[in-house]
Amino acid sequence: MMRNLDIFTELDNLRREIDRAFTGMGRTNALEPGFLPGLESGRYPQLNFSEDEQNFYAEALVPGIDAESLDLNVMRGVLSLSGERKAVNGKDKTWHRRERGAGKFMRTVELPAEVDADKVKAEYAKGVLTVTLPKAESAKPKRITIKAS
Amino acid sequence: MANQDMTIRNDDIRIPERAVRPAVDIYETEEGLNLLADLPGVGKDGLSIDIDQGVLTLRGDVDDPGRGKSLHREFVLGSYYRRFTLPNELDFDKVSAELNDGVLTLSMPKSEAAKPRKIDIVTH
Repeated sequence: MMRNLDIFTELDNLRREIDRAFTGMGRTNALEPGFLPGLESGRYPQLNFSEDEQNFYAEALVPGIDAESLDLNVMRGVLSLSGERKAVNGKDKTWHRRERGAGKFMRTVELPAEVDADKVKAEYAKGVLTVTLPKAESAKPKRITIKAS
Repeated sequence: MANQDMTIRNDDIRIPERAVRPAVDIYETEEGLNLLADLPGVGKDGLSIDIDQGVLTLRGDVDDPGRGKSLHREFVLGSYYRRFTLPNELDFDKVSAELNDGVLTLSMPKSEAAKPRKIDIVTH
């Protein structure tokens, strides 16, 4: 059991490091540039996506960000989220741990069906961004009543 | 660097099941030790910070109702847990905490005796 938990912790750390290397988060800029695919391919922020009959919901983990600096767009069936997390000024400090990423990020998600772009709502609270995307009429499930004759 | 290195040991062995280990920044200044932890989804009520015998325990619980049927999942908002062994040079009575937009900032000042001092040399 203990062993399992350790593996999870390690995996979590590994994932974080890989994320950082590929998105240019944090200080690791040594791998730049050339073959790296760039910011757009990064997996930051993490997203959950769900739906009910009326809406799609996207939830993103973006702690410690000024909501004004978040940029959310819906265009041609693609939701894109970009912003920047400011780094802590490293001057006159001795660092013991530096795991929290900082820098610019961008993430795009293809929406599974048409949405009503004018009615998209977004809310930022406790470091979580929740986006509600109402489905377009054409994308809502229709119940067809069958008449028995 | 003028500051002496205060070591912080991790003591993660007792992580409860399914808890996420939050990412942290820890830095030291002449005044003390500061810790920043990413705890997205955690509100003031869901957060507990304990310092017991020099061991700092952070625990955050998220009340995430979740909406609709999941289509794609990259994270689960459940609970956060992490603990650290702190250096003795801190004044635990003066620790202050702030939670903003899912980021916890803990300020832990050094005790007076542990602060660096500049000693003036008097020449005659």
